[in-house]
Amino acid sequence: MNKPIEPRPGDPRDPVVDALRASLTEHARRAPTADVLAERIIASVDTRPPARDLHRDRRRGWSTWTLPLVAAGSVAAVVGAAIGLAHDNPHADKAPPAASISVSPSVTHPASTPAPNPSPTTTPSTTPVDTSTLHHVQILDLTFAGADDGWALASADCVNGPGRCTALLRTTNGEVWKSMPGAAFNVDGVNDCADPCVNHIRFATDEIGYAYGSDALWMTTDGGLHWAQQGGGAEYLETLDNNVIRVVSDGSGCPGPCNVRVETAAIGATTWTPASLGRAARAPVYGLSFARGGSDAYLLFTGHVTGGADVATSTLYRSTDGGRTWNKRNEPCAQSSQEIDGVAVAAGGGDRVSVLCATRQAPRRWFVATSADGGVSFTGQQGAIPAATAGVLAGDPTTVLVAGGIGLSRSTDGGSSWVPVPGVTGEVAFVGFESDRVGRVVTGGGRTIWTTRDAGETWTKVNFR
Amino acid sequence: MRTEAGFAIFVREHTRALIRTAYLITGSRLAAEELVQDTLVRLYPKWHRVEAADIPLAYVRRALMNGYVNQTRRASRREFAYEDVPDRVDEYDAVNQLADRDEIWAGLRDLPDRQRAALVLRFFEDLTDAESADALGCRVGTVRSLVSRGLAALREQMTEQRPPQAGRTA
Repeated sequence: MNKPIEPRPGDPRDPVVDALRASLTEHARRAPTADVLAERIIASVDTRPPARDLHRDRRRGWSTWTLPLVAAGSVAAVVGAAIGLAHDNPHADKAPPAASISVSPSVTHPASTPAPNPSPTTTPSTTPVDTSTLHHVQILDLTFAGADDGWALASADCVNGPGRCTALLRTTNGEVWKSMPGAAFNVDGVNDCADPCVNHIRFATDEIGYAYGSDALWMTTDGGLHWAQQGGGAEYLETLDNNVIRVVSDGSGCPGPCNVRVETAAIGATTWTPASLGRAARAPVYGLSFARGGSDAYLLFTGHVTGGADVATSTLYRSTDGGRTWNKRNEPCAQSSQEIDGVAVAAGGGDRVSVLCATRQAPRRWFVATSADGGVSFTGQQGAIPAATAGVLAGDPTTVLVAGGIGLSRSTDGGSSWVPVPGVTGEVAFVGFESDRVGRVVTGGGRTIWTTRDAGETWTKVNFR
Repeated sequence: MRTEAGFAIFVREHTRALIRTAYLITGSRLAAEELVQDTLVRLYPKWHRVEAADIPLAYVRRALMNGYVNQTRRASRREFAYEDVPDRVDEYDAVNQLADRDEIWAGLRDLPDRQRAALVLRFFEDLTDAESADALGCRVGTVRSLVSRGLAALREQMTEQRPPQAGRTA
């Protein structure tokens, strides 16, 4: 460990090697304490029978420390014993049992005097997260049916063996998260996400929810305790106004989604009704974004970047009847000497919609186009977004806009000016808003959930181990 | 020196290094403790061989690596045990600063066992290729190949841009 190493080709100045060394050094600090383990090992061999019997009785020596460990863990996992392991679960031999993850009550800064684009603030937690059995939790998606009534789709270290397992986490007060049984599907990082593979979750009520991926869709009607697989999958799925809209596509043979279809269903129903988007939607598209706000739904197609002029621009569709019928809108991003793509769409209520636009050629420049008439006309806001990359847009366009990628930025003037949200750094994995005030962001490799209840001005966070 | 005394001295002196290595290659605190204890307990009956080795720590490390590879091959091996409850989780601000490193950590866990072990030996233990080969019980060329392929996989992963997701949460 202390021996100087020979420099070898490829080592110096290699950012991957530098990052690897830093990661290994950092994680080595999290290794178990050695002193206690050493004494346990010494004690175990001190009490062992003569060497000739060691092999036969080898397991007996473990009891000197394994049993207290099991006992201590079992206390922490009592909820898992009561809930997590009592259900029939095909993955029960490996799936994480229920585990509670409690956090300190959120403490937010008092609202400051309104000012043009005030700087958002963050409030680091001062009370540690008290976790029990789950380790290396990685949040993939979040959904809330109430202010503090939420679910998280995640992966975590299996507790009954090596590897990663799907974890479905539940909170009913926004402070304590518990893992639930019954998640009979794979997620990213679990079994190579073999079929059935889901990566998103949405709940319409506190009982009816959906877990979905491109090729799989599951529904629960009891709050996530039991899941039933439905037909097909979904690229996007959002619930609002007593119905659910899903966007489906064929993923093969195109550079992006192709043969995009929209289907609707009543919440909890198993029958889906197709909606028509017209011929343009069947052309290959480079990207797809979907958003619901108020009673409106918006679907944004980005033209294929290597396609001809007729399919290279973005196309926006709007529905005002729960996804049953759609109207094509104009190109939301004003074109200049070079083509500009619509990257993401965010919907607010009352005909408000905004689109994140980006120049196609490097160096890419990002700006927001906003509309107050349901996408009939857009005004491009030229404020430079202070992000290395941007790809996420969420919030109510007239009061708060959040663009993500590396870090998080906020605008309170429709995109004319932007302020980085301090403390929210690193790759943003998810941004979502439940209302024009309450929103969530996931960062830290899926281990940190940020919550705002004042339209992004202040944020509190929960860390998972 | 009696075997028991020599064993105890070694364990007290080197468990810290061994548990760190074990944690880095297994990614699990419980698995790391099991691996270290399993290795040392298994070596205890023949501890005189360890003491006779040129570098006893290298001998034990090789046994630990063998145990790790064999353990991962035994798919049926399942210990039902919960991990201990941590006293506290701190360094909140460090979480985000570690995002890139965590990406590496996540990538490391996705590597094949021997590639991951080779990278840990090379870039954490700072072993030479020959020492790593000794620990892994393979040829020097194999170690170089494992390191090269492991780095390539991590490099590829770091260059991948996974688009973030957005959506309503209700």
